[in-house]
Amino acid sequence: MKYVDEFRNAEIARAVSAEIASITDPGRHYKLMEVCGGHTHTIYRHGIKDLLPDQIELVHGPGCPVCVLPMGRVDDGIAVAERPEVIFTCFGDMMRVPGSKGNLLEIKAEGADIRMVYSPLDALRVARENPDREVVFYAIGFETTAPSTALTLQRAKKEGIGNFSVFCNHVTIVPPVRALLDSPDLRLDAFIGPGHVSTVIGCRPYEFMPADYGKPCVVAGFEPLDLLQSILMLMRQLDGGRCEVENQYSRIVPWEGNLAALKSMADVFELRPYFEWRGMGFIAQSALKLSEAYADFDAELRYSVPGVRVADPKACQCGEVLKGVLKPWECKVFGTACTPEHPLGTLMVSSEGACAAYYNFGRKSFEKVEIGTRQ
Amino acid sequence: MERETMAQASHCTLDHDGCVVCSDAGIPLRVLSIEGDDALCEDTIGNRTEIAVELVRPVAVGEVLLTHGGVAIGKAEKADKLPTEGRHQ
Repeated sequence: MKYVDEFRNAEIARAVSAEIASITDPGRHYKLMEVCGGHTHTIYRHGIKDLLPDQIELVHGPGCPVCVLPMGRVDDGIAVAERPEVIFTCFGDMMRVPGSKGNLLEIKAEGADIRMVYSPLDALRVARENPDREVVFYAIGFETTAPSTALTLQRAKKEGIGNFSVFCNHVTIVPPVRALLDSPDLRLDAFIGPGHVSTVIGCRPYEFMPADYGKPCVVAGFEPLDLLQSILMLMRQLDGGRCEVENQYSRIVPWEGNLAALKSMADVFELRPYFEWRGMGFIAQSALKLSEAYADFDAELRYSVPGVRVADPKACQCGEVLKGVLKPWECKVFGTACTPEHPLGTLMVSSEGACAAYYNFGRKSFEKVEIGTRQ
Repeated sequence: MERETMAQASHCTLDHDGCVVCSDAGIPLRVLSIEGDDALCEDTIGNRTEIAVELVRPVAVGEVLLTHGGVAIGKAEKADKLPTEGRHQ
């Protein structure tokens, strides 16, 4: 297929790979973090790591909202879903995320009315079609997804649909990245910025990385050559002593973002003072809740959610993997107690989670571990 | 706009979008017709769906939109360069 083939062209990939190798300092170790789970998926699926010199380490970041959702918020959602008057709606991947006493699929099997939707607008349609029931949408996602929730609530308000509410778990990308940069656990050299989040927020929000921390950032697309070119752009910056934000994905991402989407979000949401992230603890102003103007649609106000904080299972090391301190295969339960079929931690649930991506597509480093352990 | 332009934007189609909540899955869709706030759109392999277009106005038939969760959040620019030719700001 034209363009897809070109963005996956092996000859060009080899040429980019050779150029990366030519400017890599053999005496230096480079740690590049891909913030977004979609990039993690592409890296493993297409074997990008195999095209890079050993000196370049790719560290997987916290950019998968399912993966960073703490167990207590899943339990809160389940508590609402169990109410007899409620039709509970959510995205498909959310159904399998484990809470402390099961997941939404299991609660559905026990009789709760839980429906998978593709869009929050579909949830609003369910509310229109069921005026005698209460319809709740479990909203989750970064700034890519938040505009669709905002638009849905604006339509609900305009149409005066009173039996619709949103349990809001939207998060924002910049505060956790800043928390990672402040963390003593991790020393990173540069960032591969999230492509589609940037479609909404633009590239300016990343300017703190070079300005405050001296770390370059390249906003990247999702085809294999997008990733390779972004890595090359980062390596050129590191090699040439430059430090700035660049936009490799300019065919999609405007530098200023989508102002209409940002305006819609500003109307519907406001920042929470703090929010808990799995493995990262509480991060200030890192999540969204509904604004005063939309308080009537706020499921957290409409229903009394338990709001209990639940610790992760002891064996689960999602937190360390999320922060890039551990590689997926270094987790004690990776591929044994925790698999995509029976996930123990969230990173194994979502197809964009680092553990699921590595389980499905990774190989090289796993072989190294096996060889290393066989004496 | 040609179908190839859509394909370059992402590997996703409506029936294979990876993980919608990953929040960075975006699906490029071509606009077939527009009615009020919604547009009938088609992906690279012919799947069709209705997409809300308030956030990317003005929209014209034939344009390629980047969509997420049933809402258009951006537009795909027709690329005239390969990725190795330095497409960055």
